[in-house]
Amino acid sequence: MPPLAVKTDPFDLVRRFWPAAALAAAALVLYWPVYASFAEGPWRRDENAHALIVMAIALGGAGVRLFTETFDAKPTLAEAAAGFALLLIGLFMLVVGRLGEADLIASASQFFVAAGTALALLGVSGVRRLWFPLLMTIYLVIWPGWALDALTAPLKGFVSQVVSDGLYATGLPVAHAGSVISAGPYQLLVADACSGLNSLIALTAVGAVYLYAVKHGDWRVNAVVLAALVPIAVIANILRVAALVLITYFLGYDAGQGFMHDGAGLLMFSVALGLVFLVDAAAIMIFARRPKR
Amino acid sequence: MTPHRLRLLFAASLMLLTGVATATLKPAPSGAVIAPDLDAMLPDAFAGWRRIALSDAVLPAETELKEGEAVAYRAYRDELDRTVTLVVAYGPPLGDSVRLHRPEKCYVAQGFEILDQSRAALSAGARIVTIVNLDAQSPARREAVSYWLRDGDGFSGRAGENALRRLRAGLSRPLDGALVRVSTINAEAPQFDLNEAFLVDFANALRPDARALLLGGEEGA
Repeated sequence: MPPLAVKTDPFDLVRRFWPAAALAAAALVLYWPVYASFAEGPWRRDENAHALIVMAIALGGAGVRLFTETFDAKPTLAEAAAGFALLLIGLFMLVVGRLGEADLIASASQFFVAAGTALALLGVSGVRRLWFPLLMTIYLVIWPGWALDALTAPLKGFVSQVVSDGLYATGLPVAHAGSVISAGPYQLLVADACSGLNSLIALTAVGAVYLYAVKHGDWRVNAVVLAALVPIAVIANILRVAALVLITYFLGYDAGQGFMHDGAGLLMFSVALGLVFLVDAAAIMIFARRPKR
Repeated sequence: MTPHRLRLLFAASLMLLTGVATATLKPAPSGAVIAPDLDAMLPDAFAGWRRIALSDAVLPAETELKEGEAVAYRAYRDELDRTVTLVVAYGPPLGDSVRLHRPEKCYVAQGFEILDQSRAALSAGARIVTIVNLDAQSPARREAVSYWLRDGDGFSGRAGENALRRLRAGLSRPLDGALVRVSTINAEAPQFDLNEAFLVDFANALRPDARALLLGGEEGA
């Protein structure tokens, strides 16, 4: 018989992978109720709409590396101890978050559980190679409404001001008071305190995934693109609001609302992605001429 | 068994134990949350105040109600023809989903500037209620806004306070919350004394169930 038969022996696969499968099953038991409750509440809200996609990317990214690459699974005693300590912190957060109905803490536990497990099993070198999926778990944090409000309220004011000042400068009768923009006879509220700029988190997540996908060798290019993500998200939002104001002013209230429902998100994401490409290309061109340190 | 496998299985058993422990400690959710019928609960006339048709109020920006939430908008007038606008909102005990909008946010979002903000304590029956007074100015009008925000068993005056108290109190059970906001339009000085007098009369006129809903259980303070 050819030796190939030995390799495909299902029992061999089971022997090799049952501990890893047990770990995956335990993680599933641990997080299934958490995700079930998130699915009924926070994940349905706009500001967390990216959670499932980010989770899929993190799991997929980590899974592909773990299966296709050989990891040196020999952490030092210190690494293992630190890893299990992190894991315990994460598990404690999960219990506190679950019992206290604090989605913030329960969702933040994902980072600690994932990072702790990786460190305990694969050591620092393993964590380094899994840095991206581990960082993505931070995007899975469910921020409470008051925190998002604190973040987005000043941004809303800024966006309203830029849009109304900009359009006023072109001669249109546009003004704003707080987050209310008046354009001719129309009054538009720049979304409400809890949804307008929630796309910010999703937009930066998309940018981070892009950065990981293209894998620049030059860290300076990565740093420039990373630093540009938040301003890009704000610019995309300004354009969205400006488009809404213009459509409402020239085509009427209903046309504006129709745009909000159908085209605004698409416009915003394409603008944001286009700007990411642009910044990326510019950074590559600037840094490619100079020798890398 | 290699050390790697031992570590793997140790991590797995930690997760499994925590998962099982949390599932047994955590009581199953109590099913559907039913929004209270605020309109039926609130008094139409009390202490010289009479309900009138609502004209022009600064409403919370988010008007779409989620499960278990309830909002009532009303206006009242007294014998001296003074008018107050009342907003009552209730958020059910669904963990972090209690997202009562702080009036500061609503007013600023709608073009008001908060000129002054202060806290006061009212006594409604046996209970001390912490309220927040806002002096809000828009290009069109100046409003005196007074509100209390019940968050679980306590009243909160700042956004950050909620989070801390939630964390401490929420460990035992999910918390609900209620917002009672009254506002008066005035040209000169803000009439916080009128607001406060209204709030005290209003609190004292509440039915027991409405009182529990808006002011919380009697054991807290």
